Amino acid sequence: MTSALLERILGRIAKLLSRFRAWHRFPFLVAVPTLVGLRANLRAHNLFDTERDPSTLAPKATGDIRAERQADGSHNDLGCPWMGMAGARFGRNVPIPDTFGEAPKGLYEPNPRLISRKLLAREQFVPVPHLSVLVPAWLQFMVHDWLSHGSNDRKAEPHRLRLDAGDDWGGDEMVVLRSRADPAVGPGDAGQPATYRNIETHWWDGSQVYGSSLARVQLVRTDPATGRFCADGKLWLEPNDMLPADPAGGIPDLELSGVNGNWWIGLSVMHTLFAREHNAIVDRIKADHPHADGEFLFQKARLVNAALMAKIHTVEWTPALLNSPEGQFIMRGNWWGVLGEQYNRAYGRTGTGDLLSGIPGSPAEHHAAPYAMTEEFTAVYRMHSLMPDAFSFRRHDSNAAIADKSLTEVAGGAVRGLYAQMSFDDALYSLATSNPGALVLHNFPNTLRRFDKKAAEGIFVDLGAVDVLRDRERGVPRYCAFRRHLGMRVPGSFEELTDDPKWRQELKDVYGAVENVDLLVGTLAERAPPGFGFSDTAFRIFILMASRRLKSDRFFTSDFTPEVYTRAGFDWIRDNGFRTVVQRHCPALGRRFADIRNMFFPWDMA
Amino acid sequence: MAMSLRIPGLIDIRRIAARAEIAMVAADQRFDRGFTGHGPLINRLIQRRVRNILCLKGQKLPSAAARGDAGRHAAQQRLAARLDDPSSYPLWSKEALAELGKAVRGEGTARSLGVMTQEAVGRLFAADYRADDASFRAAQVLDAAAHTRNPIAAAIWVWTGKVARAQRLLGRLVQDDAAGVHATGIAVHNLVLGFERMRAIWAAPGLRARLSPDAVLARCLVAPPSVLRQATEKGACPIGMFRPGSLVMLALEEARSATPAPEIVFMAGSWARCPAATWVPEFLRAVWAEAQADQSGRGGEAGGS
Repeated sequence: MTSALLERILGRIAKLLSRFRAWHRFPFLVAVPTLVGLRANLRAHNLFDTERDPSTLAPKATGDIRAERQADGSHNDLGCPWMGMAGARFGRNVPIPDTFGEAPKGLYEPNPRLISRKLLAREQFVPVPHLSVLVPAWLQFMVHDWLSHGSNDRKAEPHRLRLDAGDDWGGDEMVVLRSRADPAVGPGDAGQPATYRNIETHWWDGSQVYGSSLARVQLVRTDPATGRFCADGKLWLEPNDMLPADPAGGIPDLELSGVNGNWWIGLSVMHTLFAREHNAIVDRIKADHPHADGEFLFQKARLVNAALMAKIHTVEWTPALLNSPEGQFIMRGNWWGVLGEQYNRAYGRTGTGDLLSGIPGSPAEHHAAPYAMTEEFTAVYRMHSLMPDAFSFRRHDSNAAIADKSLTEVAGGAVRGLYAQMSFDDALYSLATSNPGALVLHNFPNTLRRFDKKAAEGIFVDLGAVDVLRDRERGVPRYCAFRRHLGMRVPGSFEELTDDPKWRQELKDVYGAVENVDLLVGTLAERAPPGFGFSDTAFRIFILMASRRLKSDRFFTSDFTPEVYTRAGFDWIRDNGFRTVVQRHCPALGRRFADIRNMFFPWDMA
Repeated sequence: MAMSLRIPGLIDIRRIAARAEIAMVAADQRFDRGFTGHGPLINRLIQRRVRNILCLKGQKLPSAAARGDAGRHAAQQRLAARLDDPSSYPLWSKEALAELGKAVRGEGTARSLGVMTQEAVGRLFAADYRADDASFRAAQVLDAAAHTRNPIAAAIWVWTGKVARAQRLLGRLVQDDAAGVHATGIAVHNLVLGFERMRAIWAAPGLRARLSPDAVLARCLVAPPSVLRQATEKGACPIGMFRPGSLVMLALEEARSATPAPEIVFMAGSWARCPAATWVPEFLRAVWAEAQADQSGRGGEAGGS
């Protein structure tokens, strides 16, 4: 109650201060409470439910509902079992009346392909020197946990983007399939904006490793040689501790995991590490529970592994991208609270609120709407510019060159071929010592702007154009309207949007008016707060949703206890991070990151 | 977000904005709007203000009449039957449509948006209804007195006779039809706000080309900011405990941002359903179509590329 009142007061103050200047222009002691206040405002005003009729989802629980995560994400909120399960609708961060998909005439204006060519195309790779390629690898690893709109609609009339005379795409139009429409629309949806469903679980439950259905969970646990679950609830890895090939995958030699779409070497590295980590957790829990069956060990290891990933994301990955005292404090505060890690380790939680001792262990709370990933969150996580077009692989012990590869050559089924040329440690070392691209204009990987979807059939996609089109199609407001909804100051001109004179002119030429600028383009054009790897606009959604993923989840709040996780599992989460995970599974790489403050910063070269 | 304030003997009021809670209170027979003057001091003052302002010649306007009021129910049914009847459409004149379309496009009009809208609404109750600046000012007085958070200002308006003069003027224009006074004095402001939003959409560069008619309608349908209900007996429900005279404020416009559905905007499906639940959306659609139709003959829009 006191905490809620304090947050409301901070919310009022933050609203007032925002009239004068952005939070990052204040000193630390003002900026941090302002951020807490901004988050309180966002929780109150920027969470909207899209379920209008009683849900048609009918989850069936298996095992111990209270102490295990369900494969499909159901029964997390015991009062609303389908909340956040696979197949539930995406929510929204802006009022529902403003979420209608754009209508055809304006939907294609300006032409997304033109935007891709004139504003997104990478002219010269702009790196982020203080980050490594593990950043985009981790990002995609997480996104696959949280959301997917699934395959596009092949039956609906596709979008047809007219091509200019000077366009080298070929032909006179670019065809883009529509997003798959919600298959379960009810009477309450009449006259309402279109909705979309998340085919993955919405929760932070490691579903990218384990899958979002019982069948997928069973697949990753089953040894194909015997057709039985692996012993002790472990995940199936090959004898050399590498991921096996997916027996059901449509792509030859594609590695197996809970989610293995858009596969590339970065994802492979993360999935391999955390599959190994699962098995290591099993071994530890089994030491305390020698007579426990495989199901118990699997479920407990999954809980622990998912929480460890959530912790790494909260206290390591995000602070690497928000490399400022305020950004780091607020994100670490989500996990450890204002009192910090040392206090938490020494004395445990103080009070029930999340401000002092962090969200884990505090009471669950959904705030203004039932928990769901949102379309706006999906939109601000479009960070393809982080990806390089080319990769240089080197030996981890000598830095000697192994091979230079294009993005296409490290994707899909080609990944297993790479491991024939180099060790897993070499691949991880190479990614950890390379820089990602900066989230700025003219830095969208050209490989993804002509992405080989099905090259044999002549099917390519321009992901730059598709990113812009998807936001419009799904009713994500354009940049200025989006900021208005978040209570942010809105640029009145291109001069206020960016201080780069060349960009201003290019934006003006393409958009005409600043109000027309797309969200993706605006976030790439605006100047990020000092030390930040992404825009303040995206950051607002992050501070809302990053804490929500924890705060809404029973397994991070009321059931974040040694009784549910086991004592060994609970301590494992407290005592581990990305550093110890890599140390455990790739001990030979220890020297490469021994002096690195954050594991997502570039490691030392050999 | 639900909020409540209770100081025994002084105030007992709760504000709700969640769809489910609003639906529950709307359906609960223990909540009414007779405003009988029970409850703590401030609750009684609020109820007295509502009774004094939302009335005409001693008769409560429909928006203040109790659910069991037979006259209210019959009048609501009659009006709804007329406004819901598709064969009677259009229930507006071509001139009104043209004038409003022009206003939405931001072209100069001799009369204000408020006056034009009030006249269009008034014609539903009196075929010769003529709105002017004075009649719209009267509507503004009535609305401000009903909704102001400044009880002293409201009291002054009542005591100086300003509210009574506004009631008389608005009543005269509709032959003292209580529903007509409510429509032209209170509800009209939601419609005016809707047209102002429509005008903003029209003026925003590129926006109107991106919005479907459904999207425009969803943005321009405005719900009453809030409506009051009074508990008639002691009890409990999911929003909490209540006593006779406890007030519950249904924050409909806030709820609309999460649920832009008729059940919120017009309280459709409840005993307090707005009889214009069909007419208002149809009218908004017609004005938007008029604005677009006229503009299509004049070349493209400004802004964008």
